[in-house]
Amino acid sequence: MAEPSVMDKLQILTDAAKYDVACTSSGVERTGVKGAIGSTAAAGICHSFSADGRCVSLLKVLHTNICIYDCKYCVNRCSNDIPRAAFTSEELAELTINFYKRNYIEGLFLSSAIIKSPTHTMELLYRTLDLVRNKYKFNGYIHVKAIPGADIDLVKRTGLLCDRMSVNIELPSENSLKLLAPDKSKASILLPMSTVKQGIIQSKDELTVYKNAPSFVPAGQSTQLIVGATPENDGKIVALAQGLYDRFKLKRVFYSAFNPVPRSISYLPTARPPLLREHRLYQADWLMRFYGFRGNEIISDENENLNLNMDPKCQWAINNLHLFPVEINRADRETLLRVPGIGVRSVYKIMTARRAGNLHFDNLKKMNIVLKRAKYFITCSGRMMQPTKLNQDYLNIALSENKIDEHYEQVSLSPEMLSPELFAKKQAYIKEETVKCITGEM
Amino acid sequence: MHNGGDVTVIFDGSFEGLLTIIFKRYYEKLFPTRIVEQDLFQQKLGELYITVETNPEQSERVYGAIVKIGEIVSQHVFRAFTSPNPDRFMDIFNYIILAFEKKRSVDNYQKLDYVLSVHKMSSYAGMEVHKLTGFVRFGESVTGILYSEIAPVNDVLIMVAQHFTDRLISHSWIIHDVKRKKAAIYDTNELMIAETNGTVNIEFTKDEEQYEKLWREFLNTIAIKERVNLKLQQQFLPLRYRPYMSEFKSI
Repeated sequence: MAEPSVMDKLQILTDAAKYDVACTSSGVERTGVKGAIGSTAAAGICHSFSADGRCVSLLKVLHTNICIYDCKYCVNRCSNDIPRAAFTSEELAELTINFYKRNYIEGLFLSSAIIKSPTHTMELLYRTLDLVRNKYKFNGYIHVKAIPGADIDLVKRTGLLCDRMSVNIELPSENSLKLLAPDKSKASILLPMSTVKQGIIQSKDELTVYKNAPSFVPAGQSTQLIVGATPENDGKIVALAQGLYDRFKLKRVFYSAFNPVPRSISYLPTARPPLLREHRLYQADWLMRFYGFRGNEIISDENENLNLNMDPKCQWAINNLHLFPVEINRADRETLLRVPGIGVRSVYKIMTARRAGNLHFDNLKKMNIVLKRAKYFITCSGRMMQPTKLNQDYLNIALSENKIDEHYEQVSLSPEMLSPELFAKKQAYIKEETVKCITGEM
Repeated sequence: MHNGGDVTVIFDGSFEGLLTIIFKRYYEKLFPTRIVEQDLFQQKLGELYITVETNPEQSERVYGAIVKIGEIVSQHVFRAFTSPNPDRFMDIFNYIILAFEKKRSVDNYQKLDYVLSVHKMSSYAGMEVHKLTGFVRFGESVTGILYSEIAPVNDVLIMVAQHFTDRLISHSWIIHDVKRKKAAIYDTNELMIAETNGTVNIEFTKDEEQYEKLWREFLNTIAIKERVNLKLQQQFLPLRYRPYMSEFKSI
């Protein structure tokens, strides 16, 4: 068989890597070095956007898609009949440097199928990173996968060459893992994860003492799990993510709506990927990382799902109406962050602007603070924007997005949500409330 | 000379020119109600106007004073000035005057329209700089120089170039703003800004086409077909950037 060209390899190995979600290049700031190429930006930089609207920031490829495992959800499983290829380290290094200097990419995201054995695969990744970093003097961003089951010492050495490392947890429970990825186990996934965590802590300690100590995975570690391939509910997934943030100090957990895999086994779903569900999980994730929420505040029951019709923050606010309304001119940062529709930036704007005098709704509007949802939960100098009652039923209707368009198509919507009776009821309720507002009968 | 009444100031439109007007506010009691660039000036009925000549010495002194206030304030001023909005000068003028009084806390006064306006122009320009740091596309010439073209809405060439003095520190490169006919040139040591006539003849290496092809192939493949969402793509990557990006070049 003739050796495939670099173009063919790129095509095959990108196609195999495209389901990996992470393409972030954030979390580490490093300036350029004379004689080398590259720098990193703490905020991360998107270089392009693909047709599915995802940011393209890294050259995301597999080293090889030749795999000894047979994970049912994966396109690269050994029982799947697809073209196979493998990059050489030199080819990858050339590609990275040449893409990088044309400013196509922010760095390299290298993952791999399991060729021969986990340790062999990890060694392959290590050798390529070593070449890119030390021979080609690449100083940009590198994200690499730690292979579950690989030699731990090798994982540690690779950690010194990359910016971010990730171990995919793949499925939300041990049972699902057994069913769909019989070659992986929870223990084999968690071991490299805790190794990386220890390495990061140790490296930070050393850096406080020795300025030039090598930094280990400076942009932190992340993981990814598939949503909708197995029966776990959102409650379970949110609790799992919270646990990962607490125990393994992860930077990010990525969720990926399950895409039906062609020619796969019968007990995997064949419906379109549950994109809205994925979106709601990300919203919940953001609440945990930036808004000071705990997983169990967002969803307390492991057997429940997030409300698809409303974002999790609105849902939380409706369940905790006794905490509202919040006074914009007085409330502290933590309280403001919990108001639906007000984000981290808006909170910052409000907190600086109110130092120069009381704010009114007009000011908020001009400052581009979105009041669509917030108006039900805030007061400015003791007044609400429109007199509305803090009433669960009313808010449930007023804040419902009822948004089902082609990109958010969902199979599991309850039929009553769309029924004409409910729509009529909603209209009647709003009308009634409006009359009450006008007549002042609150 | 100036009576302090309603007067329109016209000037050459340069940053130094605006700073000169600020100098004259303090030392010559010039209180403009409107500031217009010379080329765009149209006299309204009964409008009094005077022309201010740019004075390097005076603008230098005002410049020093602004920088002294703090990094955030001076960054707002620089960025807002890059905006294409022809009415921006009066807002920036008022913002600087207030900044001299309130120092760094000027940014708290978002209730004032001109402060808000400066903030908005500044963040729009800042956003564009950030986007361009990703969207600039270089091609390698036979002489080894990396060349790229941009046409930003705001006049942000210098700020974009500064990012690359760090990133491509050991390469020579040119970023050409074809809209404003100027180019940032870096020779591995120093960054220079030069005027151009808008077109440059560059002979690219043989590999160039191959890498562009590889890049296009990569982008085509990475998109998940079940999730195609062109509207979302266009939100993040507006059409106006695409003529200068190799992945959208029509073959």
